[in-house]
Amino acid sequence: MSARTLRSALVALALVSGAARAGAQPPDASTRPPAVRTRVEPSLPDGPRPAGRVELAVLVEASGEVSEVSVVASAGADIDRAVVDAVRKWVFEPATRDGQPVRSRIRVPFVIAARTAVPLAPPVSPTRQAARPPLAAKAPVPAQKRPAPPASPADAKADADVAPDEERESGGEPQVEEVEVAGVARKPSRAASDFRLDTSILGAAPRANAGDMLASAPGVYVAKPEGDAVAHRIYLRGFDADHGQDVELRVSGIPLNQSSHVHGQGYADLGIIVPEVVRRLRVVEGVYDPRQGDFAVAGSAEFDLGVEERGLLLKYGRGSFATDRFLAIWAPRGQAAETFGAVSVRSTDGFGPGLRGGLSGATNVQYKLRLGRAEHLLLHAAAYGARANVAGVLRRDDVSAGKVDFYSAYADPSARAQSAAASRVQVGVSFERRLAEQARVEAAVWFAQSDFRSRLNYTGYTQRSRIEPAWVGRGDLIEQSNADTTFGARASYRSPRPRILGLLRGQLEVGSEAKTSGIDQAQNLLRAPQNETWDQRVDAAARVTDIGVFADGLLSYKRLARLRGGLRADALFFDVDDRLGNFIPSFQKKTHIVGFRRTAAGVAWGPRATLELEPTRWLLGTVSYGEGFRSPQARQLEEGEQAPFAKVKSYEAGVTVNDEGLASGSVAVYETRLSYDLAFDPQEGRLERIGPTTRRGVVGVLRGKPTPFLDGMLSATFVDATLDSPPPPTPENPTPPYVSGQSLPYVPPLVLRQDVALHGRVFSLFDKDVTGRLGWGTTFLSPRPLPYGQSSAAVFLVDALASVRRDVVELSLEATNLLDTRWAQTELAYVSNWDPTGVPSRLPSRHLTAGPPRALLLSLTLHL
Amino acid sequence: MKPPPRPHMLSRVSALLAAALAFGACVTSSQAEVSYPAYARPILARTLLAQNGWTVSVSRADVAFGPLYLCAAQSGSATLCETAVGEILRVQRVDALAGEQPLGAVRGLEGPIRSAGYDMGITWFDTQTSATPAAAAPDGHSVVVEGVATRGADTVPFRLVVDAVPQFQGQRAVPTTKASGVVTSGDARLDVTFDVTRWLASVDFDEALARPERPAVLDATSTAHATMLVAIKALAPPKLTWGP
Repeated sequence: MSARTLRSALVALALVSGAARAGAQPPDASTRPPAVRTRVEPSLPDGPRPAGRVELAVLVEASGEVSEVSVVASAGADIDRAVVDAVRKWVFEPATRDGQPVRSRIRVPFVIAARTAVPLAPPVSPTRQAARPPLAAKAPVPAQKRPAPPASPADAKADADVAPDEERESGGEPQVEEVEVAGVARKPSRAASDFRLDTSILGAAPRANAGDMLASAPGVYVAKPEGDAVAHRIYLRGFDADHGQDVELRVSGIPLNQSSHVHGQGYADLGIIVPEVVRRLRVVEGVYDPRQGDFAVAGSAEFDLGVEERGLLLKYGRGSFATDRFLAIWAPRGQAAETFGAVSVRSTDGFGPGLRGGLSGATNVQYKLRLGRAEHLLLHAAAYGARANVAGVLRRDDVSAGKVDFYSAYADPSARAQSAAASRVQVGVSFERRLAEQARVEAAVWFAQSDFRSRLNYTGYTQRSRIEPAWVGRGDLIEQSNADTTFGARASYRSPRPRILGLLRGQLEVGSEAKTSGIDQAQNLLRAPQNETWDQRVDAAARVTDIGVFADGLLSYKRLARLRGGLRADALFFDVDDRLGNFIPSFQKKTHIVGFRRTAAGVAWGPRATLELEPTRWLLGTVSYGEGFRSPQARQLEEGEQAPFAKVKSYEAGVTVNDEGLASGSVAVYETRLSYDLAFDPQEGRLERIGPTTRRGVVGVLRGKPTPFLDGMLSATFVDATLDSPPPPTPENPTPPYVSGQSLPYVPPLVLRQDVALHGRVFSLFDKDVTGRLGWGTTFLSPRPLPYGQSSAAVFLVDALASVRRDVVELSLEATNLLDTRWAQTELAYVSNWDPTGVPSRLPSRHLTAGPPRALLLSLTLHL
Repeated sequence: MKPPPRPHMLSRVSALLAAALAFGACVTSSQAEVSYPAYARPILARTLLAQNGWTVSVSRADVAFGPLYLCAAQSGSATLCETAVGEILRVQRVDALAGEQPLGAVRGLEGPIRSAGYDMGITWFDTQTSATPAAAAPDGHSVVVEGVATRGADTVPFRLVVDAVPQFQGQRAVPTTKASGVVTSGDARLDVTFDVTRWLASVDFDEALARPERPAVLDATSTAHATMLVAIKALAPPKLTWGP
């Protein structure tokens, strides 16, 4: 590098850094622009050249890398190419919003002198308009007066040598003509346990599916014990949320929970989400937001979809257990991050001796259509299908005795006949219009169609046919089917935020949300391998309609205090055609025709409120209260019954400290009281009531980003979850599995989670930087209490990934259960008989579903 | 202006996390598992008085017992006691002419026991297509008694077999019988008393005398079989007592 080039580089660096500092006071205090961290000089063609000007539009990813460079103003093809090649190697401190890195678009003009090139303008702050979420508006920015960058005498000399004319032309000020900071509106926090997980944390560890992303939220443990085609079981802060009964799950605003699903109330399959297109996950632990609806008992989780890196991504992975995964994402350049198409297909033999094979596929498509400066439509479509074999449960004593291998299944036709299949299609259209003074109108309609069929055996050979009582011992292979068609809509209006009484500001939002579901479901017992039906347990159709309204207000006093809250009310209507209702046992005289049609309705309402006190910019105290509900299983309602909603009351107080994005931490204490809880009944393969429950706990979170290449999050959640008043003993069940005051079964009292991500440039190869990523996630679960005084073993798991990328090619290796821990995903305690030729035990025994052993997946990705 | 870092705040958060960790293992649970021994205590005089003046001298008396299911419900039937609080799964042959002998270990849970259901060597589980004698059942029967019945000048050697067969698939031979005990720890012990003397005392051996073969075989077709079965199931069923 010549001395002249070196000087010009120093000048450019001074300009960049100085301007970045000057621009570090953006109009919107929550937004910070990108700043150059690593700069590469253009290598201009030899020979004489005229002075000129090149202007580039540069897209800076949330990682700080440059993903797109296009020429806005040209100084000739050769010079343009040299400048573009150089800028592609620049690395930025990414723009941030609320301390979180976001994607940004900037313009960088270069002044071309006789023999070199100097960047005229560094990235500067976004304007208030450009930063206004969620429009990600591209707005011209007038030149901003700012102090001259602090320059050394050498700098000043170089400055004078290199670009005196251009600086005079621009008034001696760097000039930036466009800045875009991408992102969506950050919904206001409702509690200290209102967690936002971005791609940095979500991408730290391998995620086989979107459900695994929930594991990074504090206090969450997810498992998939029933194979790839059955939804995750979710445990959240002392709740056994089963397949979604206590967690409201949404993707792009569309609810995933299914009312009155035969496999479990609130069943929600996250398989429909392609994990690579999740750009943000919000997990609210508790019920404090009036927008939280049915099933928001332990809390809610919302997946926000978007693709930051534009272009075409093709990825193929091959790994353990003959696992193949193909992923394609097309994110057309020039479009918003919400516009993309993604498809993934995965096939596997599964771990163990070929008993968990499956095939699944999902596609997510979104298109954001701008209708004007303040309006847009978001079109969303997604589809998912999966089928997988299921190995099922094993008795722990059989494993210990060597009767069956830990990763295998019983050598029994009924055990080997287990499988599940599921599909879902959903489409939605949402409209948003931003009005003056932060007012807003939103509306959306959506449709979803889901099918589910499973054949699962939890108990072996214990059941007797109710249709034909003489039929017994044919295998407890429970076949469940559920078909659900749901239409939904929502609309809301948010008022401007006027001043009230001088110092206060107020705002009100009112909205409504409605959905109606038509459900057809059945549950039978099958005899394998003949596939003969030998009992019918459920044959029903239901229509469930939920109409919810909410009002949410805000009252703020400067930055010091904010009171948010309001009221939500949901009216639910049930129409049930129970085709096996009023069942006539075979030993009774037939006196009527079997069947029972009934209707029921009920209203659930609950206040929610959050008080935030922010005495300094780094300290935030939050007190939250809310009441939520879970709708009942339609089939369990009687004619005219006031629908007995499960009501939850959540209390939380917490403190958050935030050190300007470098580190943050929070600690919160909480209590939740649930009017009645549900627990898995293996004999029926579904959820049954176990009475009111209480949870008290504390959750602590540390989030640190001490350097641009290191990001980490550590959380610990402790909960004391107890049964307050389980069902009393009955003549049929004088010693029920649950007693008052006992620890809630299946729920780990202590959950620890750590996610760490490292990324950055590793070395250069053939003039291209090779960047690397290294990340891992660790989970610790304390022993989980089980019914009948038993408890499961503690679990410690490590997942890790490593990747290197040069230009468009990336090679990655993902490892789940890196330590090859032998662990049980779930453990249950109940009576079973898996030995048809032996003497059956009628003692409750521990049963487990094996967790996956170490699995590797090597993937090749092309970023085109 | 960027405020200075406040490490002391973060350290407080860390301290709270550590406190939470310290409480991680504290859980409350319900019934605990227990295991304790069971013993058979047969009552049988070598010479006893039966119906109609018959005196019986016993040379062999084997009783099959098990499996045994203990229930907290007032009824121990399979339909009313799907979940047991204790059980002995093995079938044990008891020599009624011997003294106390082990029946095996009871595995179960702490708590009250109010009823029991059991088989006597012949089972008809859900998964069995018909009633089936266990390997330990004496000659495939529930009870086998051999001896000589004497009344005056009449002397009849006999072989009396009893089959306690479950009434239908999935049922126990003795679906439910009263039991009363509270198990609070693994220090407990179960004694099962078989009053074979009372069982035999209910039999009239005139039927044996009328039979042509010697020894006279009193099997499931005999009145003695039915009489004995009533005695076993109702008049003097095995008695379960718990002690330290």
